[in-house]
Order: sequence, then C-alpha cells, then structure tokens
Amino acid sequence: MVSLPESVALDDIRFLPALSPKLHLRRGACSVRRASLFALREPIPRHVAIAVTVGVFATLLAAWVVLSYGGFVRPLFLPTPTAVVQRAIALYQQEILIRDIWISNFRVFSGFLMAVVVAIPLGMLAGNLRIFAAAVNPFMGFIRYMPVPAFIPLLVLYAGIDEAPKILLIFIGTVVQMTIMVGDVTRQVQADLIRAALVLGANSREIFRKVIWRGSLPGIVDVLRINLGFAWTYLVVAELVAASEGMGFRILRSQRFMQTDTIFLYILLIGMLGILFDLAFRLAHRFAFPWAQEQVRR
Amino acid sequence: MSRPILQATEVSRVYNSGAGAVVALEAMNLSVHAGQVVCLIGSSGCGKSTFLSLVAGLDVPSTGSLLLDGVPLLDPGADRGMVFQRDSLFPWLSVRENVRFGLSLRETRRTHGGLMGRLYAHCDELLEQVGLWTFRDSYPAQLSGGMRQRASIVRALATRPPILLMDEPFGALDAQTREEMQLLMLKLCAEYGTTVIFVTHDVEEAVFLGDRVVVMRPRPGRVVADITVPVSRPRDRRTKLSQEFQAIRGRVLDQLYDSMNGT
Repeated sequence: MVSLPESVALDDIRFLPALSPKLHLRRGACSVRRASLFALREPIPRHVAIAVTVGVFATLLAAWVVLSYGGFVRPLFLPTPTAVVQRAIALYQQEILIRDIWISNFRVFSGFLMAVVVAIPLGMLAGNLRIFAAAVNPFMGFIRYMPVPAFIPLLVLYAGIDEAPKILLIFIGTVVQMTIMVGDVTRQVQADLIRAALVLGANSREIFRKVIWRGSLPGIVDVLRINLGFAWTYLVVAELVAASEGMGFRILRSQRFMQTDTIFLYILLIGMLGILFDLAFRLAHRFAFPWAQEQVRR
Repeated sequence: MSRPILQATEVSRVYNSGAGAVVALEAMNLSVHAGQVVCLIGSSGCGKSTFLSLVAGLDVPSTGSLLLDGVPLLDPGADRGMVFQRDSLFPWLSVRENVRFGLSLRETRRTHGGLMGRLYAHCDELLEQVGLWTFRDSYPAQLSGGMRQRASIVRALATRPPILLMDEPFGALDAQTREEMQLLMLKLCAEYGTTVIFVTHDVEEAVFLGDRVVVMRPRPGRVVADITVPVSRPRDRRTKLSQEFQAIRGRVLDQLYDSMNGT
C-alpha cells in the first residue's frame, strides 16, 4: 500500500505510482514488440497452434495410459486402451458396432434435418417480420425451458416405440434453439444493405432472397454446426425410449453389465464423430463463403 | 433549366418518440432542376439526411408534397440512385455483381434481350472509367475505402437514374481520396446529365460540387439559406483557390454560424 497524504485530491494521480499511465504504456509496448503468444486476439504461428492442440489430446491420452496400465485405477473405473480397442474389434466382428453407429446417425440426422427444415424459414420470418416475431418468439421462449426428456412419455403415447419418438425427441431438442439462433443471425444483416437494395428497386421478396438470405447464410451454417452438437447430446436421452440398438442404447446397457470399456469406446466414438462433422461444416463454410473469411479482409 | 425535376412543398417529418414529438424537418420547400447539383449542408440534426431519405422513398413525409417529375413519391425506386455514408456494397457479391444488382432485378422480371446486354456492357464501361475494371471480381472487403465508394457510385448510376442522392458519401475518406472522388463524381454526373442532391457537412465540398448550396439549421430542421454558386464548370482543384470560390465559401460559413447562434 502506498500511503497517501491526507490532503490529496481525488484526481491527483501522481501519488498512485502503480496506476501511472506511463508505466502502462511501457508494459504494453514490450508485449507487442516480442510478438507474444499471449497477445490478445493476435494471430500465433500455425505450427504452435497445431502443437498446442495435439498436446492437449496427447496429455489426456498419456494420463489415461499411465493411470490404467500403471494400475493406479481399477479397470472397472478406468479400462485400459487395449481393453477398449479389443472391445471395438469384438463388437465390430459381431456386426454390432457399425450397426449402432449407423442407426444413431440416422436418428440424429433425421431429427436434425427436420429441425433445419422448420427452423430456417421460421427463424428468418421471426427475425425480420414483426408479426412473425410476435407469433414465434414468446412461444419459443415458453418451450425453451421445458426439459426435453419430460416429453418422452407423451412421445411414446403419440408416436409409439419405433423410430418416430426417438427422432421427434431430437427434433424437439434442437428446433427451438435453432429457430431463435437463425432469427438472431438474419437480424444481423445490416439495415444499410437492405436500404441499398430497396433504393436499387428490390421488393420484399427479393430482399429476403438476395440480401437477408445471402447475407446471413454463413451465420446460418454456423448455427447448424453448433446445433448438430446439441442434437448429438440428446441421443442418449432419445435412445432411452425402447431402443434395442444405437450408440446411446449401448452405453446405457453397458452400465447394467458394468462394461466400462464399452462405455468408453462409444463416448470416444461420439466425440470423434463430432470432430469430423465440425470439420466438415468448417470446410464447407470456407469453400462456400470466401467473402466471409477473415483472410479476405485487408 | 425548365421545369423542376424534384419539387418539395412544405415537406415536414415529425417523429413521435416517447418524450413527445420531434420535428426532424419543418416545412421544407425546394425545387431542383434537371442536371443541377444541389448540396444540403448543416450541423447534425438539421434534417438534411431526413430529407434525403424522404426523396429516396425510404421514409414518408408527415405533411407536404414531394413530386418527382410531377409524380408523388411513395416508394423507393430505381429512378433514384443512392450512395450511402457507410459503403453499403453487398459483401457476398463481387464488385461487378454489386454493380449489376439493380439491373439483374429487372432482368428476372422481364428480359429485354438486347437492351439488357447493352446495359450490362455500360456497367463494365463505368467500372473501367472509374479504374475498377481490374478489381471487377474482387469482393468489397478486398478493396480500399475509396475503391468501395467508387463502386457504390457506379452501382447507383448503373440503372441510369435521372437523380442521384448522396448522403455524406466521402465523409470517411482521407483528404486526397476525397478530392479525387469529388472530381470523378462531377465528371460522371456531367456526362450523364444526372441531377444530384448531395448531403455534406463540409463547406468546401458543398461549394466545390454544388450549383446551389442549401444551408439548413437544426431543432427544428429547416432551410435558412439557398446560395447559388456561379463558379463556372468544369471545376478542378485550382477552383478552390479562386477568390470567387472563397467569397461564396465565406457566405455559406456566415449562414452556418448565424444559424448555429440561433439568429
């Protein structure tokens, strides 16, 4: 603590050396000159970024290897990588693995695509026409906080126990967020662009199609990417409903038989699928919207 | 200079905000003849941009009449081109696609065969004329501010509007680029006989570009002076140094400061 004379005025900062603006400037200048890896929002070399990413995964893998092979944790709680791989081979040979992956993908993508078909038009209308905003937004706010698994009994009652209730659950889980997010993204198309199109003679329909849709498409693709993740998180819940196969179902059933290695295998597989889909979306974004990439800007 | 192409009679615009009515523009009278360049100048809140929005059809007058070629103005339309303060090129279209945007809207409705081809060729000519031909396939984000504003002007002129509305279009440019753009705009508008309504807060720019400088004052927004600029055309950089130019600039400044002091 710096002790201050009694008579110091509040705006007299000479007595507060730690807050002196000069010092701040000097510190800031140093960090810029060194091209620090910790400079706010500044780019870092690509090889450093890759090394850090790989390092995180490698560290986790190493921890797993040490803890499991080293016998620090019992196999019931933490199976060895070997056990997980052997389980994968066994399930593959029994033709269970591929079947589970296929059926779960089918359910997730069916529900997700249904949500996309509803959410994109609804979100665009709610985001840009006040009358649709009045109709849609309060209703979505009403549904948004409802726990999705609570719909299961109703879904079984209405849609039976086949694929329909599982797909519907994933649909319900994603459609609300997706509609709200699409609405937000389309609202962000600048008013100036809409005014420019009006002055060039565009009518409302043309503005929807040629300005709002085109301008928010990269944002919409991002919304889809994020919501596909949400869809996968509802898979296990969806497969609570009278399922006899699927990745979520397999995880639940392995719990009963204490097959920790199977649980590990499927959780890891879902994670890997997630990375793959995310990458696919990012690549599609980069190739479809060259104008919206950071590198384009000067 | 025969009949006015634009005739504003007692035009006002009142906004009803929570705190009561705000008069953005009060009883504005203005007639603009074909081929004239009219500059509107005044401090912020004087209603100059409001008036431009009304002429563009983006806003509707609360009272009064606004006639374009004798016909009341109701909606935005391609008979008025507009260049905005912030460049408003569509970021997802190349420069050339941006410039063709207005024409392409008409093409989808009704194709005029050869006419469309000629209009597109005219767009390309304009791009060449403003030095953007080599950048025709670039996206707006890849261009400098001056280049983007040049493309905006070309886009506004592409539909051959008889009247061009410009809302502080060069405000964000550096001094040198700004001067280049002023000369380019004068050249293009003279060539096509375009009538221009130009909003600015820069006195020198207003006097340099305008056949008339309309001085406006805020709260409520209204016209306080309509000063004719008899400086001969074509004008160039040296024009700004002439005594005649400086005298008019002085008169506009006097009007501006008088109006600011509330007299």
